[in-house]
Amino acid sequence: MLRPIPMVKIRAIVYEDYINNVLCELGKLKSVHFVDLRNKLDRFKGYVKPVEAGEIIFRYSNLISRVSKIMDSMGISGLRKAGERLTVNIGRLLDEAEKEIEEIEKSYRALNEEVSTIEKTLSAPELYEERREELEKRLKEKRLELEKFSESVASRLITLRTSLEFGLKLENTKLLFGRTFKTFVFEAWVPEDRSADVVRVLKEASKGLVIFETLKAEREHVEGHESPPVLYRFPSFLEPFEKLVESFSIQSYYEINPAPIMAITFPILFGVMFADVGQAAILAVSGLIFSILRRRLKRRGAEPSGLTGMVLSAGELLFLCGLSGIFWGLLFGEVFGSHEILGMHIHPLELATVGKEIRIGGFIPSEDIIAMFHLALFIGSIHLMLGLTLNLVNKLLMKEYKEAVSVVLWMWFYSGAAYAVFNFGSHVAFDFGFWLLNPHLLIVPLILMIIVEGLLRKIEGLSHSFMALIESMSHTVSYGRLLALTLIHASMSKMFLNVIPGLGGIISGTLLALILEGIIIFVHTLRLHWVEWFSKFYSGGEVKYTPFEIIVDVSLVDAR
Amino acid sequence: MLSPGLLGIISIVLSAGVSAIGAIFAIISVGTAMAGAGTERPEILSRAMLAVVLAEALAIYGLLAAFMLVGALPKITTEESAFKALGAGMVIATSSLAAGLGIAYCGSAMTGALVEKPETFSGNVISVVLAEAIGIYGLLIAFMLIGQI
Repeated sequence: MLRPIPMVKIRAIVYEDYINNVLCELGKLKSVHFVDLRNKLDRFKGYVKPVEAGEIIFRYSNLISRVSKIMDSMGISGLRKAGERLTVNIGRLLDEAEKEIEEIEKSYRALNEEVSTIEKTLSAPELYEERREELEKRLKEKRLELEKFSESVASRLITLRTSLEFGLKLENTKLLFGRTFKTFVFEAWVPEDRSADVVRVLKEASKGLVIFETLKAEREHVEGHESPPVLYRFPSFLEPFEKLVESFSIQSYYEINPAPIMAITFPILFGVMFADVGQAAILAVSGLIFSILRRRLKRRGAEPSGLTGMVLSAGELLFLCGLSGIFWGLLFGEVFGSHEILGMHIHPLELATVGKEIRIGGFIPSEDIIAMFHLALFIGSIHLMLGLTLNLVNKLLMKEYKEAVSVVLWMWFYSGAAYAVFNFGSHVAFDFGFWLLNPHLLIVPLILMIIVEGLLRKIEGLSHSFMALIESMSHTVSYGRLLALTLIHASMSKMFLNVIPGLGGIISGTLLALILEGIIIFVHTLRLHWVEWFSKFYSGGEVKYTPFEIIVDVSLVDAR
Repeated sequence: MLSPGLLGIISIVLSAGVSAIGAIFAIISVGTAMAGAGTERPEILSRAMLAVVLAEALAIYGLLAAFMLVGALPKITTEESAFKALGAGMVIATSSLAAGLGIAYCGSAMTGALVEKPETFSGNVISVVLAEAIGIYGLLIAFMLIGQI
């Protein structure tokens, strides 16, 4: 879950007569991700040339646009669906399709012209009544004929269009390959567990006229080449979190994927800011309804897109965020913006006290701002430490031990400073005597970091350690927004209760909280993850695994 | 010397009003950029929306400070407390204005860049959120000042 599916690279040379069949069979297997070889042909030392886009692609696109034009005017739409069988003679597809389309176009145009001639005559004002009747009858007949004609060719047109688009897809894919006099050369990434299938299909589809090698994706190996595309297989409730990570940047193959960890930290941070038992319960219930609704729709094969789709697909995320909001609402004693419900006073529950000043729960944030500020920074420093730990794990996984040393020193320095401030009270932060008396907390790791970074990376390393110092401070303070947004959330609801006492105030305050506050808090949680947290360990910027797919069950005639 | 109550009112107006100006400046700039970018590539809008929501939050920071100042208004009777209130109002006003300016420029440029190269988002979003962080710094100081009234 944390690591991507292992990939292997298959490099193959296929005899040109069988390339279409190989592509067709691989497309049906849906598990190869082709590498774009166009700029990478130097690895074949000049023996392989790029595939040139020939006239054939223009003929395909021309025919496709002609077919879709007729289909549009007939009011037909769609392609052959997944799993439907289709037989294509790829060698003669273009010539035959051209002839057929021409015929259909001709008959359709002729029928249309007849109809429009009759319509024109009918629109003339000086017409005998009898003639008009006769013309109207003929118009009806012709229109019926036109309709019948459309019906009779509809299925054929859809088949034609599907086969043409299939042909175009093959040609476009071949552009990614390399070419020698009689062969095509391609490279593809394949999930390790599917590689046996791919090799079998390669051999069968090319009748043995293929040479291939399988390369493992090792970091040293692909250095200077390309890293493998990433693919994760998740339980479905993690999907919204995966989407959030992906929209920042696609993960790197060698790093830990933060999405499963984010499924824990994201709701926690959201819940602190959305701390209200009542409103969060509504959020959780609606999240549950959304996710059930989405599963139902998915089973029926009608997944909505656009904004509705976006909201529905966040169902699990909203549910988790709502649960966390209820939890923090109990700790802060808040129900629908007040501390009373049905005449009962709600006491904030105290979960724990950490060090001297940090109280987790047990106070009302709007009345004890300083306690909330401490809690916000405490949560922030734990979150940042988690980020630094992930960075260490990444560096160890990549076997970059020198980098790992500087990360360890940063963690030492950061956790030391945080421990001192939280354990002995915030007054020590500017007390230089204290830091001198306890050098192991801040001064020793800082000096070590400067020395190690300076030795490893010279001036750049020095500025890097200075950056680490500044970043640790500014990023921790940035978690102060947990305080700000908690207060905003609490006081917004309270404001409505002050203006409109009773149920009306609760309803309007809740509506505002769920819609406006919900969005703002969501964005702030996202930003804390994307900027403060990701910048500690996440590099990303890689390619997503997009397999070459042919969904229709095509079988090639004369598969030579 | 103005009366302490009047200074309190002025600080409320500053914090709610000027931060609204900062927010709307950013929303105007990023919103128009989004409208243009969306015609070319609608799928980036959900990401560009981040800048607009962060800008909107600036107005809410001002509103929160104003709300707390209204609550503290009966306590603003001495010259010292009046100046603290005025300081709180001014710090949230100026920092929201500054943050709004930053989001306006960086957010609209980021939206434009997303149309051509969506993969630049992770780098460009940094400048937007750093600009927005300025607003939070101001708000934290305002909290501390109001807490002392």
